[in-house]
Amino acid sequence: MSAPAAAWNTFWFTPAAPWPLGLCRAGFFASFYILFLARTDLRWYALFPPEFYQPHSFFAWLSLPVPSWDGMGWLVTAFEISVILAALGLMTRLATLTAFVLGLYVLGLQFNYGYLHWAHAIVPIVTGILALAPCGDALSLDALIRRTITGKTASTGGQYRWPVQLVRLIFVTVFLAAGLAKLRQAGLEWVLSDTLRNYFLENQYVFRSEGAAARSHLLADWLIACPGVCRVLAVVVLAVELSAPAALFSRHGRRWLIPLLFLFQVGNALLLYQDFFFAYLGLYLFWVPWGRRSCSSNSCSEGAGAGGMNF
Amino acid sequence: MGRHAVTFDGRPIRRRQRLAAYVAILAFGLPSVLVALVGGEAWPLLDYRMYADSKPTSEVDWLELVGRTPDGNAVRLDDEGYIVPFAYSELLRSLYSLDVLGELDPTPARRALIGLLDAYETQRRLGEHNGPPLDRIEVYRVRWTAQPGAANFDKPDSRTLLQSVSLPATM
Repeated sequence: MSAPAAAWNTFWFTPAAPWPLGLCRAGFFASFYILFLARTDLRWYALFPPEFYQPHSFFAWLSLPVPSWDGMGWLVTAFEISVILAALGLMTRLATLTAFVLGLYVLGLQFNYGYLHWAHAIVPIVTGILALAPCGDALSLDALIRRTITGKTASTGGQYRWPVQLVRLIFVTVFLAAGLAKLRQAGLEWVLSDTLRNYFLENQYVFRSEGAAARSHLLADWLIACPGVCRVLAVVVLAVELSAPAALFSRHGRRWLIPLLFLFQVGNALLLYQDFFFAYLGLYLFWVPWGRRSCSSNSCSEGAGAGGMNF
Repeated sequence: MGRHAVTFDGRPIRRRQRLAAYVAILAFGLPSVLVALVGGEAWPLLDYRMYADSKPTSEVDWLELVGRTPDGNAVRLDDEGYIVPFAYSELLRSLYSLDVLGELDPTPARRALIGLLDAYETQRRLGEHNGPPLDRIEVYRVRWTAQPGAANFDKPDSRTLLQSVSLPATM
């Protein structure tokens, strides 16, 4: 096997235990439900005045209709049930597939009304990945039932590694895209001017009620009074965004980059009032080196050790 | 649950499982990377260009949505109960996307404002909110030289009426 092929196989298919993937699945869907779905009535999307409708992407290509209030109610209920089932790992394949298809539609509907919660886009992508992955083979009710009936449990394999790696790839791509978009649209001017400071200022007007209610505006006010600090912060933001892919390949880089990305998102919430990322907080679970410390073999990958959680 | 439950046997991945992996990589991984590198958006693939523009000055150029009661009083429509399912900033962004500034053709924006007023009145009559009856909706372009804490929020540098619509008599 050539070196690139070996590296490719090592990256995607190094054998891993099934339970870290099961844990990530459960955590991702549970946190999405608790932090977003349980607090948001998506049926309201049926109430957009039709005059605002500007269909985009597959909504336009397929001429998809906007559902009625009742129709949206059914879709949202089915979406919520599928997310809960996916979290529990009951009928996991069907649940994740349903969550993917309905999520694409239900979460994407707002995209056709002239604005977008950018952070929501990663949710159907990760759901789609999990729908293709054997993510219900461990830490799921499916696995518990299978074990009870047949006595069989899933064993270590490369099929439990690629979904984690692919979700990580998607995750860092979000930040890379944001960094490259800044370079494409503003170039180095983004860090050499007072751009970040001026966004802090602007959002105090655009999100007037959120800004007035948040105590964090005191921190924003302090930063605004220190343009030099804002420029340093802008350099750090751009550097972290562009370096995010390094977290895929460097364990050392991952230790620094992932906490920095988390802090960056907390900063977005505190200073720019963009708190949508809480909807996919569960994705950080995919970065935890589950079980690595308890792995005794040198060839063992993250999560390949620490058996005994395979129901 | 004993330790025998997971065995590190290093078995090669099965063909069907490898196929699923490549389908996922081609369907989700590759397009995400391409969109990140070259830009563009087709839900759910986005280039995350929020806050990507250069903003060298502290001028804030934004909109204000106001309702007019039959006796001419102004009601700022930033209460989300009045504009369900929009949040205020979302609604204003949506109006930008419909060319409320009238750079090419503000007709879609005017039509949308009429739809918004109709929805407001329908919801009011159903008792969904307790806002006053409105005759018309107005959109203003508002500009500030920004100050920390939006200290001059109520005293913008300029405030220009962009659009004013009322319900047609037949509605």
